[in-house]
Amino acid sequence: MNFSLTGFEWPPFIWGLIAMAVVLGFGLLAVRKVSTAVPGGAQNLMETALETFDDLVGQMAPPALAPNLTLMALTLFLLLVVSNVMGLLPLPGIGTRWIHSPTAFLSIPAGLAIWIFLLIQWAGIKYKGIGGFLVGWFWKPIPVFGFIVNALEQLVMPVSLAFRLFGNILAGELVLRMTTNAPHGIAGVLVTIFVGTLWLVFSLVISLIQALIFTILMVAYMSIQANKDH
Amino acid sequence: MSTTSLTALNMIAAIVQWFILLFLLRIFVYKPLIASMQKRKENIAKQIHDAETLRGQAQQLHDEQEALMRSARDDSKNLIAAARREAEDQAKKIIEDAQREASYRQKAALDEIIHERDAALTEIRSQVADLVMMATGKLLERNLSDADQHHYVQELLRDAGNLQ
Repeated sequence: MNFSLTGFEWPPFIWGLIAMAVVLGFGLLAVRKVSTAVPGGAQNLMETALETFDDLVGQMAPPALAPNLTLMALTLFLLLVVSNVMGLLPLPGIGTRWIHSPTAFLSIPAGLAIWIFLLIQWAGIKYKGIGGFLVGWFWKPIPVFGFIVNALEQLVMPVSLAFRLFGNILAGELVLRMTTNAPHGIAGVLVTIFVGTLWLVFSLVISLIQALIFTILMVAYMSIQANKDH
Repeated sequence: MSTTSLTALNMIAAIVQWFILLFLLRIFVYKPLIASMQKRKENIAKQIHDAETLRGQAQQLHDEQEALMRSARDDSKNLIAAARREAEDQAKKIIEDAQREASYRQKAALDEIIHERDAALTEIRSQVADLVMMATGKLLERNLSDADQHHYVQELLRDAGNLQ
């Protein structure tokens, strides 16, 4: 793991752009023939997702924050689902050697986690006031030294968010690629077919769960900041 | 290229990408989608409200009809009863009239019969007297004076009355 302030890598950026385009394309497909009567296909799926997140966020976040947070969470979820699943798509003849999940590059989950960290600080200032925010950082649970505890807690949060997502997705991609790189011969083909298929299904589920966990944690952290009684 | 390398520009790019995606989705997807869902909700609420209103109106109409029907049934029952009573009264009156008429006619007829009988009797008596007088005159071949005749007649009449 190396850190670089000025470095830039094209693959995560390109894969990220593709994921974004897929989400946007699906969204546009959903509203192409928007119907107020009986929604079908993509619109139905999108409305279901929207309502699910509306319920989910509505249970946690205060009403003032809920509508915006719902759309943010839904966008994040859709982007993460597409990003996570991308690396599992086998192309005919190529296998999964070419397509990568943008979330399998540490920079992308880390960037999103840092953004969530900043968003949480902003929510804290907005909903607790600058005074309440500073008290929360420096005076709780104990005066002055509370800062150490809070800093640890606040810094562990984005790191754990980033590495949880990155690790799960990278592992899914790597193991799937290992199964397609199995040795030649009957045994290798069987391993590719059975273990590969099994792992593919498992990884798909993991992809969805990780996207959901990342999103729900974002919503939860935001809600904790926005709820004044916490 | 390493998947584990942390590059600041890629992180910023990820955040910017996410913001652009959120922006585009909000404008082109969420807005029309939410509007359509809202409209659908309103439509459904309106339809439910309309259905409730219609149901209320139907119930009211039904109640009115039922009340109307009940009153009509009562009216017809009353009308039939009144008509029957009237008919009975009329029949009684007709019968009474007929009876009265009949008894009146019977009485008139009886009176006339009595009167006729009396007249006939008087007539018969005078004729009998004349006949007797004529017969007697012829028998005796003797003319009596008017005074005598009258005397005889009276006598005969008295006798005839006594004979009666």
